[in-house]
Amino acid sequence: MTDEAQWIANVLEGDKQSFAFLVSKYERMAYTLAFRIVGNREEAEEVVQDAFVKMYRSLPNFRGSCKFSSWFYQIVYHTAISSLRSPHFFSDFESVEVTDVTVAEQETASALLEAKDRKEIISQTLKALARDEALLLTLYYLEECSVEDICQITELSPSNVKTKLFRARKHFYSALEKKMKQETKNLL
Amino acid sequence: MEEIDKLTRKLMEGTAERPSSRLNECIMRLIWKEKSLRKRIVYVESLPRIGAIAWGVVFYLLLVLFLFFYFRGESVTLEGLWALLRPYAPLVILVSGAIPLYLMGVWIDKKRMNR
Repeated sequence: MTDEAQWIANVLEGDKQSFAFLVSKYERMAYTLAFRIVGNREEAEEVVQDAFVKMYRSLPNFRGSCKFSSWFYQIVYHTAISSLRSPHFFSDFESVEVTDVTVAEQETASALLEAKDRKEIISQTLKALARDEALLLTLYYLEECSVEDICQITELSPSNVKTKLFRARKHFYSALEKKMKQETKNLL
Repeated sequence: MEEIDKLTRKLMEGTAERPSSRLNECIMRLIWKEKSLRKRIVYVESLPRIGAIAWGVVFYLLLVLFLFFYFRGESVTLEGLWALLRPYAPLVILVSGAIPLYLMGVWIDKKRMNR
């Protein structure tokens, strides 16, 4: 039995202390996801608190047919969407063709890997993106969720997830290049 | 494609947002207020119904009487039964009622132990 499975079993046996381990493990990613959706720190914290309480109450219903993380992130996602009071979080399909990331964009991004303030720049770039795209990039590239996991969390179809991820990545690299150009200009 | 995926992963590394230090405490405070999830074992004794008990007692009484007459070698008639039982009726009822009740108690105890 994994540590996580043991914690869940303990919580189900009434040991609330074991829940603290689950909170420690998932708090930061839950907060990141909530923040990507609501775009506000205070609201994101409220969403995370609600999501953990919901998770605690629903834990007896968790059957283990999917990853626990995906199951919990789905709760976070729905809680955050409810707080937005708008059922349409994901933008509709754009008919505009999107090209893949260019070599220039890739080179700019590679150069950024060495930068001391990389995390700050990436965070700002993600904030500048559409929230649904920032969320997908976070799930896929930061949390390393599979397309199937993302489908479970967001209830989007696999083809929809793939298309949106492709667009999100392109927009991310374009925004990154623009930002870097702006910063270079500012330095000069 | 894989190269871009790899590069994107590296770029995104460590970019998770940091919540305030009190978030963990707030969550746990809410959880402590929640009811414990321990599955409570509720004893709903599957006791036989009153009717079944009564029939059991009647059956048992008849059996005792039948055996009594059988070993005395007398034929069982209603008059004979009544004449025999009248002086001992309270005692017979008490004894023949106590035994099934005792057996039922043992059965309930066994059930409880199994749980």
